[in-house]
Formats: sequence, structure tokens, C-alpha cells
Amino acid sequence: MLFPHIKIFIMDLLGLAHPCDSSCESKLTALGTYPLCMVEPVETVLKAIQGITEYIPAMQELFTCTLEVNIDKELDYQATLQWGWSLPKKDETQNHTSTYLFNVLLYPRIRAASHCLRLIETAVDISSKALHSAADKHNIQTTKVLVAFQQMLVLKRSLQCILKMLFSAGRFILTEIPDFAKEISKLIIDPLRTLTAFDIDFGRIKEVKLKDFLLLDREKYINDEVMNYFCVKWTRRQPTKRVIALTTFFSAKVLFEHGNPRGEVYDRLSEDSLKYCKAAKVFFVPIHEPSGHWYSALIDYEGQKIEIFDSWGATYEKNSGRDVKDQKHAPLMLVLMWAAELWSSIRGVEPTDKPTVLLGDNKDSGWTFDPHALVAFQDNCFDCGIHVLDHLDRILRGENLNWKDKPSMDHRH
Amino acid sequence: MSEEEQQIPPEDANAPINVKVVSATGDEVFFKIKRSTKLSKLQGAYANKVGKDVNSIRFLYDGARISDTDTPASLDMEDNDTIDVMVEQVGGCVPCSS
Repeated sequence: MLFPHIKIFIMDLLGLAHPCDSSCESKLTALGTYPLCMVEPVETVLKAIQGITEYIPAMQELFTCTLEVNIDKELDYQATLQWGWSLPKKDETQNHTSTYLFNVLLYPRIRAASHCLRLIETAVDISSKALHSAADKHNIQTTKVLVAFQQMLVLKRSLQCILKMLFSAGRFILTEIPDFAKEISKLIIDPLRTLTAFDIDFGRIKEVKLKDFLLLDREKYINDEVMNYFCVKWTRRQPTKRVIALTTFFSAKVLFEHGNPRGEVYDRLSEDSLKYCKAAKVFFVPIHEPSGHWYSALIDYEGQKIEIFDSWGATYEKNSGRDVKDQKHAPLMLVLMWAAELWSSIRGVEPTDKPTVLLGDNKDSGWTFDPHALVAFQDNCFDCGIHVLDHLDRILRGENLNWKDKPSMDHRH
Repeated sequence: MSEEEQQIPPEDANAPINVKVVSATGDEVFFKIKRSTKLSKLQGAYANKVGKDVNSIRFLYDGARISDTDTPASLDMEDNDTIDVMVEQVGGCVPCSS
């Protein structure tokens, strides 16, 4: 079983005795007492781990990984080799020297905890599958995603506390050996400390607060933080697809002005989006309507099409039969066409791509436009944000979202 | 001549810079801050000034979100640069039948 090992691992990190080995004293007692109140109680940590693996099975991989960090090993030989530390001899007299304590008891644990943290940060956090299936059902009935998130945060925080504690213990020991301390601090402690800062590298989107993720709950409206988080994360995870998701600010700042699509975007485009657009094949644009609605647009240079996906069924019913120029999203389509033309002249061009795109009044361009693509409709009044994320997910999977191409399909879930 | 040239860089590095904060409606607020000052301070001051919760507004420099730990120096900001302010975007559906 996986679970008991985790328990031992956590207990060990905390410097507590092995639960099944009552005769064994706390391994770190020699280092004095620690502010255990800083740390979430062990049971909370264990519950968190159980919760995560239950809801996101992929996380089991993470905890199998942590077991590879052999914390029972008496000495971290790799560190010894790398830094040339003298091996403390394992006899009684040397057992409690500061060097021994640091090398044998502390350092491997710091490494293990750091490793664990790093794994959490780089491992699959929330699988797009979970959200995908939720979007299929048009709601998040179970709060699976949320629960897993909360648990992850608890675990992360706990690990950070554990590390903090280990660091303070480390400093305490190192005051006994000042020369050694200086070296160690520079080479090991400082770099490790920066690891615990939990700086997710999502470009500038560093840390989305839990209160934002809570908006993924049923009947909540998604905000820009959550939208941008997933847009950046998912597209970065699959760089080979060459899909670029612009931020929600792009639509607010560049495409719209006072709630209406802009007439002219050239000068605005040059500021913002251009640095992203090199080598992209597909642009995904999440769009926020100030009245409180999310929808999305796709500019696909490979498929030569621009489509606007709006999950609000009534808008589709009302506009699909109309003349193009009377359709609700037609003005936005014009802006997107301008954007597409401009980007095409700047982005890196593949030999197979057409070098420039001329869309205005150009019937031979080969491009198709659909301001009101037929997509899945939301059957409630709060899921449009989930639908936009679902659009991106499907695009990354290479699915064709526009169901007009597949008339036989029933688009009403 | 070369002495004069040498004096300029250290001054530049420490001198405060002027930053213009522009809202979505075009309102401008000017700030003077040191290059090493965290921009979170500016964000708080701006929110205070316009009477908004700092969590409900987003600050963008060059199209990218400014995080709490950024400073003008870390973002390579120059004198008279502009910071855009966006309001939080929340959405769920089309509110009325439009």
C-alpha cells in the first residue's frame, strides 16, 4: 500500500518517531525542540494526501516518486561527492557532532522535502480531463476539482512549514561550526530556500489565490485570474501544438472600447500581442463581455478560418438566421480579421503557410468566417467560463468545435 | 567629457521614475517611485486613491500582469512608462436576452 509509506515519510520529515516503532525516539530530538505549532498536524497532512490521490489519480505518481527519495539512507552520498564534505564516521563519539547532525539528519530531509515540493509544483495539478468532464455535464456537481485544490494547498503549505523548520534547525546546528556554515549556506541552504517560495512559472501569472479557484464551484462565475491561469498553463503544456492563448486583457484592452468592438486595432496590436505571435498556428482569444459573459474566438492559420464560439444558445438561435452584417458578433469578426491580417505579416511563416493573409473583400483568400459557430450550449446561467475553457481544451485536442460541420450530431446535452 | 558621462549611470539607477497608471476609461494617475520599490505599494496606493479593493483590479505592464514582488527595476521600466489598470472580469451568462 502506498499510504503507510507516505505516513512514515511525513513523520520522518517532521522528525517524529515511526508510529509502529514505539521504542524509537524522535530522530531529531538531539537538535532540540521545534515549533511544531507551525506545522499542520500530521493527520491534516495525511488527509490532504488521501484527498488528492482520490480525486486526481494522476497524483499517485507523485507520491510513488517521493518514495524514491531514500530518506533512510544514512548519508546523502551525492552531496558528499559534489561538495566534498567529509564523511562523518559513524561511531558513538561522533554521533552528535554538528557536522554529523547536519549531514546525516538534516540535509537529506531538506532535500527530500524540497524534492517533494518541486514534484507537486511540476506534476499534473489539475488534469484538464477533470474539467473537461465537468464541462460536458455543464456543471461541476461534485466539487472534486475544488477539494483536490484545497488539499494540494494544505500539503504545499505543510511542506513549506516543514522546510522552514528544517532550515531553522540547520541554522542552529551551523552556528556551532561557523566556517562550514558560511559555505553551506551559500551553496545549499539559499538555493533551497528559494525553491520553497512556490513560484509557479506561468509567465507573469504567479499565484492564483484559492478564492479565485473557488469560483470553479457550481453556480459561480469564473473570473479573469482563473481563465488566464488555465489558458497559459494548458497551452504551455503542449507547445508543439503551437496554440497561443491570449489573455483576457487582450480582448478588453485591444478588441473592445467602451464595450463595443474597436474600428481600428493596428496601433494597439503593436503594443501587446505581437511578442506572442511568432510561430503560432492558432490564436485562441478568450473574450469577456463587460455585461458578464465569456465566449471565445479562434484564429486558425492552418485551417484558414476565424470562428467565434458563444455557448449562449439564445444568441445563436437569434443570430444564425440573420444576414451576416446584422449578426451580433459580426463587428468583432471584423476586428479579428484585421488582427489576423496583421499577425500574419509578423509571425514566423512556414513554407506551407501563405505568407500574408488578405481578408477584406478578398473572396479568393480561402479563409472561412463564422461569427456564430454552433457549439455546445450552456443549460444554465453560470457556465460560460467553463465552456470557454472547454473550447480551448478541445482545440488543444485537435477537435473541430463547429458542429455545423457535423449536422447529424445533437448539440444539446 | 568622459567624466560627465560616467556620472550619469549611477544617478539613473537610483533616481525615482514617474509612472503613469491608466484605467480602462482613460483616467490617469501619476506616481513617482524608486526603481527598487515593490510595485505592490503602488498598487495599494492606487486602489486607495480610486477607492477600490486592490483585489478587484489588475495591473498590467506591457500587456503582462504585474505580480506583487515586481519592481520597476525587475520589469526594466523606464521613466514615464505606463501601467494599465483593468477591472476584474467575471462572467457566467448573457444577463438579459440580447
